[in-house]
Order: sequence, then structure tokens, then C-alpha cells
Amino acid sequence: MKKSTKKLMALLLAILMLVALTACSEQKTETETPSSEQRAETAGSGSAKPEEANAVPEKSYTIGVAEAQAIEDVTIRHEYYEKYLGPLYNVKFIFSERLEDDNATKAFIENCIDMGADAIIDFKSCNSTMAKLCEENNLVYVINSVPRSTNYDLYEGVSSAFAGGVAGNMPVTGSYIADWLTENSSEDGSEGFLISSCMASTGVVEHIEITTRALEALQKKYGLTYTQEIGSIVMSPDPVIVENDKGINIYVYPGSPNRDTWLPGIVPLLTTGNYGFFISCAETYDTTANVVDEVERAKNIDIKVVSLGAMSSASLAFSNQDVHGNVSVDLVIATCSTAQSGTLFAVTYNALTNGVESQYIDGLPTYYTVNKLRLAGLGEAETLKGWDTMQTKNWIADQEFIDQLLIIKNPDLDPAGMKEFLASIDYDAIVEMISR
Amino acid sequence: MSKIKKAHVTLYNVLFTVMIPLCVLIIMEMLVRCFTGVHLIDSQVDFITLMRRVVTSFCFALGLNCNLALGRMDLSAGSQMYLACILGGNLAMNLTGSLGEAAEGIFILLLSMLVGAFAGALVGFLYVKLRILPMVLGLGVALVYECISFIVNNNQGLIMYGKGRVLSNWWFLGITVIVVMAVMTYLFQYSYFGFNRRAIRGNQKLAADVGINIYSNAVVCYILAGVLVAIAGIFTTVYETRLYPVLGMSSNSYVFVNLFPMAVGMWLARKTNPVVGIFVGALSVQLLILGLGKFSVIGMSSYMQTCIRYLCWLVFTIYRMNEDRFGYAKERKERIALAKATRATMAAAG
Repeated sequence: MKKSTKKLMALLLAILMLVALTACSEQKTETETPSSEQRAETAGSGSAKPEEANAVPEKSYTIGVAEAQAIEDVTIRHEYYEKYLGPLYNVKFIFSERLEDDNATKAFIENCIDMGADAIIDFKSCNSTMAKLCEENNLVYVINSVPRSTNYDLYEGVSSAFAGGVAGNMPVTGSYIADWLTENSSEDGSEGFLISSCMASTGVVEHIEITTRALEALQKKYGLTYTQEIGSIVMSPDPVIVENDKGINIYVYPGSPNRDTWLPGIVPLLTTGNYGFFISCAETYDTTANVVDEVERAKNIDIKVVSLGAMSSASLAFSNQDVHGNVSVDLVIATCSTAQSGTLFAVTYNALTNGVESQYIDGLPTYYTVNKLRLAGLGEAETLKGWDTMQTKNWIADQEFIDQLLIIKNPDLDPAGMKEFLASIDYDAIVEMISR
Repeated sequence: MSKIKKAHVTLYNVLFTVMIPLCVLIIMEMLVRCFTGVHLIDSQVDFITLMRRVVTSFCFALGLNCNLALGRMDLSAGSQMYLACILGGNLAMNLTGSLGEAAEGIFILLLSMLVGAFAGALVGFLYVKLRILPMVLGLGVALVYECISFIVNNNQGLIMYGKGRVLSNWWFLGITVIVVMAVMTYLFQYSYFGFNRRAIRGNQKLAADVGINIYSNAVVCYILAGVLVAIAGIFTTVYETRLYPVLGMSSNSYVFVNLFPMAVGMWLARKTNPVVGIFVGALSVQLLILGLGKFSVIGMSSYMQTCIRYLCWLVFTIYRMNEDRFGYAKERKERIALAKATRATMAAAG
């Protein structure tokens, strides 16, 4: 290689390294909200002795986490598990990259077995095949799913490794959207309703619940008679124009927002201007923000947007105003990342310390649901700003929260008690927690 | 050729070039109106959506053409786009601080173009030094670039929610198209680089024998391709507000999606030049896609629309592969008619 070429390559690579390092740097934002550790330190004297409450367990465990996505929530979970819960409870974590299918999940679990893992938290496959693999290798298996068609057998006790499942509280999520829809839609329904059912047709329970509740809410409000069963509409893999006796425009559009075809399919529907309500079962308010804004300007209409979302971007979403001066998103159902991840950790840890049966009810595995947060305005979003984010690392589900779910801290705790605690965690409870 | 004949030929070429998108527009308008009751371009939103898609498709297809026309199928183009947008975009957002919104958007675009140029330059350098087949090299580099894109910004890719709105404005899109067309037309048609490129395209060995540096030309082609796909990626990301990194060569999907407009463009380029041809090709294909998208209103799934689109591509490819046969059949007919006329004349004379 010529000298000049070597010099040029060296220069190019040095610039590339500089660029990569700068791009990879994190912005540290200062916030006045106290960190979780500070709150734990300033806890009242009514709590247990600090040295006992905060004593790190002697036994170390290793937990593998099989991820399904590469979204911000995943990054938050990794940081929360590795840097916060890990040192507190003497647990090491092994994280997968985004897993494409069951084969990838199986390969990851096998790698974890080789690395001496004690448990697997599965966000991807959530089925008995993986549970059996864990059972054969004496691992505990916990999933991020409620009972559904692909894993009913797990909850019927098919595997002794399965300790239970954790997911968002679907009925409550569905009711948030249904109630909001009932309150905010017009008397005659003339504005039209576009529902993105996302992956309901593939059996995702949350999407099925939201789509079903939305259709039921519309049916109840306007006294509609659909020509098709709601179940078949929700489970349809093709778009459905929901015909009804009152001629109200209702369109159900399926498909994963992660696919390249989703947005190009939604855009023509929104640009017709026939839909004044856009309800999405996934976090899509940012993806559709521009097209909704453009349609509102062109057609001089106000499109109300309802979507699942993340706490970190909710305040930005509510801060953006459309051409009419209204907020660009009207309702966000946000997941409290650490509450859900922390509960998964707690169930897994209880199974490791006290056996899988400690998480059973009536001799069978059960599932735990974590309430999502209903954010209907900037004020609510701003209250939670700075919590459960990578920038601040202030975790809502701090040690105090997790300890309430652990049997080693509460010997009398049972799954029913855990469910009762989780049912009490709603927006108001979280606000109270973070204000302390 | 006389001036009048030249003018006729030029007029014919212009009309031919304009007729293709016009025909697509008319056909899709009729179909959409007939089946859905709405117009193909029903509002300003449709117009801006069309402009945006044409710009991104045009830039990406032109980027592919930089190398493909010279026999180099670069399968890393998609990953270069991801790397340029994710690395360049995040770097720009970290560096801009309190700049105004417009300046921030333009800075994101420029820095992404710079990173795209570097990404392309590296691929070009590896190609000329290692002499690996372009397709194989492209696959390998795609894997590496995808991994780097994945690592940057904690696997979050590029999130532009609430940022860079100037890049969504129709006038900015128009300016971008005009600038890209002007620059690329100059480079491809009137610069030494363009002359050399066309010579290499004709016969690489002859071009090398007469003293053209085919290696530097290849590297410049890769750099231009990197810059163009970065532009395409940024406009796509601004519209969709985020660009998630992908793995497992999923970035190749952008390459294959944009081969259709590129193929149509190269077919039209016979009448004009590659840049104009590819622009018109991108416009034609995006009109087709816009029209098919309208059928969502009557319940046609996006998968069916994709099937129809690729069916059109298949038909077009079959036509292109057999295009010569139509001309041959016509010439044969003319020869036979001439032979018969000559025989008749000779028979009458004799």
C-alpha cells in the first residue's frame, strides 16, 4: 500500500473514530427531581433498619433477558436491571439483541444455559417450547405475557419451570380508551373513526383488547349494529370497513407499525379527511405526527389522536400544537417501564429464592398485571417528566417498590398480595411515590 | 442531421419522457376515481406526500445508478443510508445545541451527507484495494454498517420527533430536487468525471488503456452514492420521525424497493439523460404507488398493493428484455414489404 494511501486511511479512520465517539456520547440533563437513591436515603425512620433493608443478598443469581424489540423501553430496562437492581440484589443479567423468531430465542436461552444462567425472562417467544428448554436445564422461566392462544398450556401447568407472567393491565387500558372515546366523540359520530388494530390479528392480547373495547364503546354510544361480529373484525388480517346501520365511518386497519408498509397504508386513509379520530394500539403518535398535521392543515379539520406511548416522549407530544392550536395528541396510555420490568424481576427473584411454587395460586402459575398510565394532558405528562428515562435514571420502581414484591423482604407475601399491591399502582399512586 | 430534424428528435424525446408519467397519472386517476370516488391528488397533503416520496426515491435510485450503471451492484447502499442518518443525525443533534429549528434541520442533513460520503468512500476504497466482487463486498459491508448503526445511540437509531421540520416543507423539497438534479447533471454529463464514467461504462478495459483512472472514478461513484442515499434517508426519517436500526441485511429492502424507479429511469434515460430519466422514473413509480394507496379506502391491503406494484415491475422488466423483438419484427415486416415491392417492380420491368 502506498504511503500516501496509508496516511489517508489513517486520517479517515481517526475522523471516523472521533465522529463515532461524539455521536455515542450521552447528554446529561440536570433535573431537580431527586434520584431514587436519594429518596431511599431520606426515607422516614418508620422503615426497617437501613443496614438490613439495604443489605445485598449473599447469593448471586444470573438472569437472561430475551428481548423482542429495540425500542427505548428496552434500553431503559437494561440500564435499570444492570445498574440499579443488579447491585441491589446481587443479580447479573445477560441481555439478548432483538430476537427475530423462536429459533433465535432458543439459541439465546441455550447460550444463557452455557453461561450459567439461573432464570430467563422472555419478552419474545413466551411459549411452552422455551419453558421446556428451561425445565430441562433447571432454569426458572418467566414471560411478559398474559394467557393467550399460544401459551395457555403454560398457565395450565405444562412446565414446572414456569413461574408466571407479567403484562400490562389490558382491561384497564381498554377501558381508558373506551371511556375517553365515549366522552370526546360527537353526538352523531359524523367525524369518522380510524382504528389501527396493529397486531390484533396475530393474537396480541393488548391490541385485541383495545380494538374490541373501542368498537364496543362506539356501538354502545351510537346504538350501532355491525354487519360483522366484533371478534371477526378485530382478528381480520385485512383492512375492514366496519359497516353499520347508522352509516358511521369506522375503519379498522391491521398491521405491525414496525413494517415498512404500515405508514404508507395509513397515510391514504388519513388524507381522505374522513376520520376525525385516530386510535392506535401501539406507540405511533410520533410516526403519524407529520401526516396528521398536514391533513389537519389541508382539510382544516382537527384529528384527535389516541395512542399507546412512552413516558419519555409524552410531554413533547402534548407540547406540540396542531394548526388549530390543539395538542397534537389527545390521549397517551403510557407504560411505566420500571414498574413492569421490576415486577418481572420480582416474580423471577421470588421463584429463584423460594421456588417456582411460591408464585402459584391454587397450584397453578398465574399472571400479574401492571396498570398503564392515562395521560390526557400536558400537566400529567409533565408531572412524570424526568422519571424512568435514560438521561436522569430516576426510577419509579425503586428499591422500596421492589421490596414490597419480594418474599425475602416480606415472608408472608403471596401472589394474591402481590396482585393487590400492583392493582393499587395507578397514576395517582405513582405521583405520590415520586413526590416523596 | 439538419437543425429541423434535430429539433424534431429533441421534441420527440421530450414528449416521450413526459408522456410516461402523464400516462401513469391519467390511468391511475381514472382507476382511483372509478373505484374509490376520490381524485389521485385530492389535496395538498397528497401533493406533499408525492413530492417527498419522489425526492427520496429519486435520490436513492440515483445513488444506486452511480454504481449499477457501471456493473457494480452495491448491496450496502441501504446500510450506508442507515449509518449516515443515524450516526450523522445524532452527531448533528448533539452538536447543534441551541440553533434555530431551520438551521438544525439543515445541519442534520449536511452532516448526514458527510457521513454518507465517508461511508461510501470506505466501501469504494475497499473495492479498489481488495478487488472483491461488488455484490459480495456490499453484503459484508452491509452487515458491519448495520451493526455500527445499531450500537449508536443505545440501539434507538435516529429520533427526529419534533425536530427538523424545515425538511418537511414542500419548498425545501423542491429546492433539494433542483439542486440534486443540477449538481448530478453537471457531474454526469459535463464534468471530466462524467466523461470518464461514460467511457468506463462503454468499455472498462479500453478506458483504462487510454489512461482513465478507473479506480478513482469508482471511489468517487461510491462517495456520490453515499451522499445521495443519506439525503433520501434523512427525508424519510423526518417524515416518519424515527429511523430504527436493523440487522441481518434488512437494510437491503431499500435497495430492492428502489430498483424499479431506477430501471424505469434508465429506460427513459435513452431519450434524455440518466438524471432526468431517473427523476421521471421515480415520479412515475410514485404516482403508481400513490394511486394504489388510495385503494386502501375500499379495503385493499397494503400487501396486495405491494403485489400489484411488483407485478408492474415484472411486466416492465419482461417488456424491456424483449423490447428489441418489437423493433426486429417491424424491420422484418418492412424488409419483406420492400422485397415484394422490388420483385413486383422487376417483374413489371422484365
